[in-house]
This record gives sequence, structure tokens and C-alpha cells, in this order.
Amino acid sequence: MVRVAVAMVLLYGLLYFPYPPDSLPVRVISAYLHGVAAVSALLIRLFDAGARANGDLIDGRFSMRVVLDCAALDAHALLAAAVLAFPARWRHRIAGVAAGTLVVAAVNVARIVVLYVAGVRWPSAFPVLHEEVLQIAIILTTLLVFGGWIAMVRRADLTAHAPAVGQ
Amino acid sequence: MTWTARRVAEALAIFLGVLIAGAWPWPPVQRGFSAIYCPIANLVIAPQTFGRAGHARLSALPRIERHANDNVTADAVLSLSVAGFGGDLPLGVSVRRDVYLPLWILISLLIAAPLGSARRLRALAMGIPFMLALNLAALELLVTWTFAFQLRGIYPREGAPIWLRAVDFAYGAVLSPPGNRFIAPLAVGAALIALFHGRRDDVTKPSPRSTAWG
Repeated sequence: MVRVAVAMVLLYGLLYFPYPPDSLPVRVISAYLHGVAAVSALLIRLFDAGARANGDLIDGRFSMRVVLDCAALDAHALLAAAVLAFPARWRHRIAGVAAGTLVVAAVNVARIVVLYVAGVRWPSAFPVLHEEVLQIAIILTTLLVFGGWIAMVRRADLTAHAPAVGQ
Repeated sequence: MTWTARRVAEALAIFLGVLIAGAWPWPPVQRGFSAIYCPIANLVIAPQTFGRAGHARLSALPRIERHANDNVTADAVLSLSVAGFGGDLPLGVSVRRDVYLPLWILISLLIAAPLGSARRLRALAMGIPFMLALNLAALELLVTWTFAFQLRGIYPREGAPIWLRAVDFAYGAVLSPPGNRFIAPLAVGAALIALFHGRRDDVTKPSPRSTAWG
């Protein structure tokens, strides 16, 4: 628990430090937000052919701006901290962070698509989905990904230490 | 205790069931909780003077509403005022999102946790006040940051002292990330489960009858 907390503090410091405008971290995070908006818009076209991304803005029958708070950086930091602090082999931890980051990013894109569809079809449900339900869902999904990773690591360790059978 | 797949599934089902039942957006519950919480929060923030003559008060709203300038669907309003100046700056606040849901997540987690009844009650008795204290600290941070960085003349902005820069960083790293308000109760709950799961103080002492007489 303490190691997770220390890793969280370090990652949060790295992600949320008030960097000067136009510094490299700000440009990297901005590029990531544009990427999230572009991928989300691509999927949103399945429901709204006119949707397109312009920078961090998704525009179509509904408009959404992908800001820092929409990037699920907190969920990414939580997963990375939990995996890195867990007593496992380093190659398992690195694979866990890499695969987990992809899963959380994919879930976050799905969240944005759901929000867009809700904004178009069920606007009254948008606030509760945006502020509560999908925020809780992404954190719980992150914990499930972490639990799944632990199960996989345990299984891999058991397989590695299993006695050889046969010849 | 061994964590079999079935036990994990059961605990998860209990957690989600309790969470959904309690977190369902029933307006009377939302308004009722806000009406109870706001006076408690005012015990902490209302008597304080922030910077040069800044004051804050949290009031429950009779209706749940969303104004054009609010980021949230508000069930309370945080009124910031400055002594000597008329009027105030109202900010919509969702007590449900910021206080009720984190508390309910903690309660759901502790109900689903593999703890005996006595330990569960003790974990709840420790966890609920701790979460409330965390939420009050977050409200204090919100008020201080708003006075310092959204209004002029309350705190000195030029050559801001280090603690004010720390407030700005804390606001960005603690209050802004939306997932934090849901990560916090899970972290507190996990710490309490780890604390109480390992304790042996619930083990029944052997009764004299069961003592071997040799």
C-alpha cells in the first residue's frame, strides 16, 4: 500500500505539475488529447457520419472538447502505480503497464463515444453519465485490469515453477 | 482466507449491488444529504477568514439544478464573499458527487470485504469520519484556491509564497482529476481492510471450560 501511494504521488507529480506553456510535457499531453479526440471521432462516425475531430474538439450533432480531465490520466497513474509497486518480475510489471495502459486508453475512448451518443440521443442522461457513472466505471475497470494482471502473473509463476512431468 | 474465483465474484457482486442501490440518483436522497452535510461543512469553513477578508459558506439548494456557468449539476452553492464588499460569488457544488458517492463507495467496499462483523463496524467507524475529514480538506482547498487564483486582492498573487504555489499544484493534482474522488475511498477502504484483516483481536479467548486440566 505504501509503495503504491509513493508511486502514485510521483506519477501525479509528473502528470499534473504546472509546466510552463509550450514546454515539452504540455506539448506531449496536448498531442495525446488530440489523439484521443481523433480516435474517438473515428468511432463516433459509426453513429454519426458527420462527426469529426478538430484538435481536441469533437464536432458533429453534438460538440465535446477533450480536456486534460477527460484523458483518464488519474486511472493511468493508478494502474501504473499499482502494477509497478506489486512484487512481481520486472518484465511482468513492464508488460502489465504497457498492456494496462492500452486497455485503460481504449476504455476511455469508449467512454467518450458513449458520452457523445448520450449527448445526441439522451441529453438528460449526459450529466450523470459524465460526472458520475462513467468516472466510477473507468476507475473500477482499472482495478479489474489490475486484478486480471495479478491473476495472470500468479498463473505464469505457477507454470514456471511447476515440476516437469514425464520423461 | 483463500481468494477463489467464486469468492471474488461474490464480493464483487455484493460491492456492485450495494453501490448501485445506494448511488442511484434519487433526488430526495441527494437533497437530504446536501441539507445534512452543508451545516457540518460550515462548522469548518464559515468561521474562517481566507486571506484578506475572504469568507465562504456552503448552502444546500432546494432544487437540483445546472446553471450555464457550472461544471456540475449542483445540489449546493458555495458563496464566496469579501468583507466590506456587497454581493458574493456563487459556485455550484455537487455534494452528491464530491461527498456522498465517495462515502458510499467506501461503505460498499467495507460491506463486501471479507471481515467479521465487529471488524467491519470498526472499519466503518474509522473510515467514515476519515473520508468526511478528507472531503472537508478538499472543500478548504477549493475555497483557498478560488480566492487565491480566481479573485483579485484576497491573497497576494505577485511573488506568491511557496505555500500558495503548493495550493495551486494541489488543486491541479488533487481536485481537478475527476477520478480522484473515487480513487480516494477505494484506497482508504483497501487500507482499512488490510489493517483489520490481519488483526487477531477478534479471536475468542479460550474459556476456562476448554482449558486442559492436565
